[in-house]
Amino acid sequence: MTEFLQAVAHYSFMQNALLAGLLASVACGLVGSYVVARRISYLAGAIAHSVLGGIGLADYLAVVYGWTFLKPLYGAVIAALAAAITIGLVTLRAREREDTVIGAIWAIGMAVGIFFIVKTPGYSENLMSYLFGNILLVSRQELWLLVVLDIVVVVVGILFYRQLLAVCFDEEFARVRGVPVEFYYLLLLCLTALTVVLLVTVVGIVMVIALLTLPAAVARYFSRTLWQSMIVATICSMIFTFAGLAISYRPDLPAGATIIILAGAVYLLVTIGYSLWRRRHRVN
Amino acid sequence: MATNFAIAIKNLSFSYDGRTVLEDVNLTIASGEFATVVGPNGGGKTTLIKLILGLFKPRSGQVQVFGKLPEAVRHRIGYLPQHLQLDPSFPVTVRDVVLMGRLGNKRSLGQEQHSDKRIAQMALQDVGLEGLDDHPFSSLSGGQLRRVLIARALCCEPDLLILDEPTVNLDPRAEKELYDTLGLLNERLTIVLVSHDLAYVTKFASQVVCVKGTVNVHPTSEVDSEVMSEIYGAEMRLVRHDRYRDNGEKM
Repeated sequence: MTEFLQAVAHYSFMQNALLAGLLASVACGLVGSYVVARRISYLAGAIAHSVLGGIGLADYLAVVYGWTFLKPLYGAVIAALAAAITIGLVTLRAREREDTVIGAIWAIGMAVGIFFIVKTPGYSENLMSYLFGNILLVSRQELWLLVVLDIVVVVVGILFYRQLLAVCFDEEFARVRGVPVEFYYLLLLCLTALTVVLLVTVVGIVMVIALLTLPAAVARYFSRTLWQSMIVATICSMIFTFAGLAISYRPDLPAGATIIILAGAVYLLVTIGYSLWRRRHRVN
Repeated sequence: MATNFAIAIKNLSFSYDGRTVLEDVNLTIASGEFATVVGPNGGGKTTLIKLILGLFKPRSGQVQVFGKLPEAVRHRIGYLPQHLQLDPSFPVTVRDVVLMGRLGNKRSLGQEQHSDKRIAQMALQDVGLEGLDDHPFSSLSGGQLRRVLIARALCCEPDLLILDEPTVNLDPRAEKELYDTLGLLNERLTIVLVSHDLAYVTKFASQVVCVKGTVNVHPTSEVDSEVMSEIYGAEMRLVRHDRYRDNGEKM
């Protein structure tokens, strides 16, 4: 542990990693609570995987056509938002084919990504880091983009709290109250998309759903309201990323995977503990 | 159409995915009435409600609520949807749920006003749940849950209260209490209640609206075993249906 803290004090890449983790945690706690309450983690998974398409295409354009201004993270943001809006419109308009289309977007996003990454001249070792996380490779420049994404997500998520809560809880009632339900649903998916991009830098595409939903799922055991759940989930997520980085540092474990295993273990323990506690309360 | 009607429906037809659900519906419900909508499953009860709320658009004919198009007067309607679509473990308190009734009453971002909280408290009092503000939604019994959702509808400060199957899965006692509450509320509101059960309803309802592809209206006093079997199709017998003109006179 002291070794980890010394590393954080000395190496800027460790500071960047820790900052990225903490920044992502705020959006993660806030949006994750909405996602778990509205039960759309499957949609978040599809958005996460389509991010690879954006990263791959941006990388390809940068290398082959010299569009060096197009950073992979920009491609990720664009692809995530495009996937979110497509999925949103599909779920609103064509409910009966919803799961087919979402599954297709999930796979097509990945296919596009792999296609361009393989066709991009030079190293393709990046593929692994996008899939499984590259938190130790976060640059200062990327950190600034994460700050901007974080601010957007938090400000919008808090500003429209009542509307988003009403839409998540009872869409039909909100509609009768004159709330533009479709707009807020798409807004929620766009917030999810931006949060997914933040989390991709921490744990990678494959493990995003776990980090998005596990802290919020843990938080639900300790909160009565959605905003309490957001605060608890943010704290949980911060603890998971901090502890995951600390544990993985010395034995040189993959940081993203360590964070996810930690989050999963805590969720399992809390769930088991809660059901035992409830059983005992019922008996007495 | 006269405007002292809470609801006036004229020659309305509606089809969903090419299947005609409602045909040639004519219906008026005067202000202050307690109307019950009954009929078999799939007969179009909920469809009729959604047309009154403006959530569905009629294929032909027209729906007026308080003399206007439903969309224009939605803020005067309190609505209790069939609650089965709700997630009972959703992390909200009773107060949060009731306050959702204040949405759309003004252009506010985020924060609710002090007056909203007072209205929410009064709504909870109306349904006999004062003091339960801070309880988690997930801890409520079936009967309490229904009352909280009625309080949410009352929190809209409506002139018309529409309830879609509020008594499903309630035990007889909770059901009776709910109808007592509605009977009291009927002193100041027009109530439209969807139910597949006439047992308690006839005590309060002034009008029974039978929906089965089209709509027939019975004054409550005429609801007897014949009407019941006509609604539920237990036996085939002839029943006289009263049709009403727009002005409420019998035809």
